Amino acid sequence: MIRSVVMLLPLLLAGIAHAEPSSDARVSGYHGLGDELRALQDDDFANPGMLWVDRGLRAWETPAGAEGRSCRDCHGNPESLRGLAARLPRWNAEMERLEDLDGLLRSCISERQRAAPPEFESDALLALATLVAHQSRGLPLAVDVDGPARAAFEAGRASFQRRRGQLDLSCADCHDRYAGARLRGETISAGMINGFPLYRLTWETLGSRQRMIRWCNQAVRAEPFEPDSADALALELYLAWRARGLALESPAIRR
Amino acid sequence: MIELRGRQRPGRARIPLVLALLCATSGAVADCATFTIIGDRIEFPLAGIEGDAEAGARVAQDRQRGDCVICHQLPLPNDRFHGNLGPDLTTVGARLSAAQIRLRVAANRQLNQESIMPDYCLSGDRHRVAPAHRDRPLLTAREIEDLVVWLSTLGNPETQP
Ligand code: HEC
Ligand code: HEC
Repeated sequence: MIRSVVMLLPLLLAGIAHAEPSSDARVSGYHGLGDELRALQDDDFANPGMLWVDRGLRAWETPAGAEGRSCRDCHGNPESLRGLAARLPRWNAEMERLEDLDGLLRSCISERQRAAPPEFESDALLALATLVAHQSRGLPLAVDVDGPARAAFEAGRASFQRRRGQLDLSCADCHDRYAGARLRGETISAGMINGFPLYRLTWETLGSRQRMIRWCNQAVRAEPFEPDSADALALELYLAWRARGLALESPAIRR
Repeated sequence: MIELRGRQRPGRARIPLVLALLCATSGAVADCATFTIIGDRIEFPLAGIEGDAEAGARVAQDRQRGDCVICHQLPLPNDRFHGNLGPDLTTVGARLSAAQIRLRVAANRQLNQESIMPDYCLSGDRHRVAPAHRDRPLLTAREIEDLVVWLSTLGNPETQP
């Protein structure tokens, strides 16, 4: 038995040496980009994500629905929504649930504009969401996790820590413990969501926060969340809190 | 000696050291094979299969199967991108025996529950597994034996091909 203890000791130490906790390192994924991609994100004329902002602006001006009203008819300039995206998801007291940017836009379109809401992850919804998020560029993420949102926030935190999928890995395994390590060619970031909606080179298109969560779930062969479900929104709320204080960058560029 | 049967897994609170010393584990029905852990080893080839080194190198590289290069440096010159979440394995055969490698590939978390390296032969007790992969181990007994034979040759002067 003593022999076995001696034999195992180096093993346990090896396990410890490879776990490099970097918890609460709130670093934007922007810092993991090379100079070239950083320059691309910073240049509004070259940043491919700005295409969605332009499309969003066109949709903003276009009357639609039973009342023939545009977003502008109610809200004026998109600048009037500066600050909104930095505080989402938030608790909707009437619906007694969380709502994120996509959900908020869809309910505004269906209830106030009385038009058919665009599908999740459709170009039409991404365009409006990017337009609205872009108005908060530079503002620190600041979600409210107290009061009625608290239970969902705690559920989101637990979800982040919970191992899942056939590979049995948690979000925290990669983005807390192993942030900075290389997964094949890709350097794992701290998993901050201040850039969304953002343009990912891997996707060759722009995507939402929820698309990213889905991608990471699929990477560990876990069942993705139902769109707009309580589970999906709780994790998004926790991620937004985790990135609190970081400047919103939408539309960011990521690898 | 403690016997763990079926889907039973050691509780989170138990320290891995004790587990590795004391337990002999029988894999569940849906696991890739039944095996016995003694110390930090699985002595006998899974399902009595004799592995093939070349096939092992392919499994390690195959993104749909082992995809070990996602976390480890391995001597696979055709693959440019190797991860570094786990230790460099280019000479692993010089420091670990085949029996030690077998346990680390089949059921590594029996040694260290906190480890991020998945258990490739087990399938139970996992949260939200995608339907296509539910109740299935990541690899077959044959694939694991292929890996064990290949990894054992790495850096090992006696078995180097
Ligand atoms: C096996 C490793 C792994 C796991 C587990 C994982 N991710 Fe990721 N994640 C990545 C990689 C690789 C990327 C792309 C590179 C990067 O930005 O880190 C990424 C990117 C992200 C990003 C975008 C970061 C940015 O700067 O835009 C977020 C947010 C994120 N992950 C959240 C999650 C959540 C939530 C979970 C759990 C459901 C999770 N991840 C699980 C590997 C992982
Ligand atoms: C998600 C990351 C990850 C993946 C995927 C992974 N490993 Fe590992 N592996 C590790 C880590 C981390 C260790 C260090 C010991 C520990 O944490 O248990 C390790 C340790 C090992 C060891 C022991 C090395 C030593 O020097 O002690 C072997 C052998 C090994 N892995 C083989 C494999 C094989 C074969 C595969 C694919 C079938 C694989 N690994 C996939 C992360 C991984």
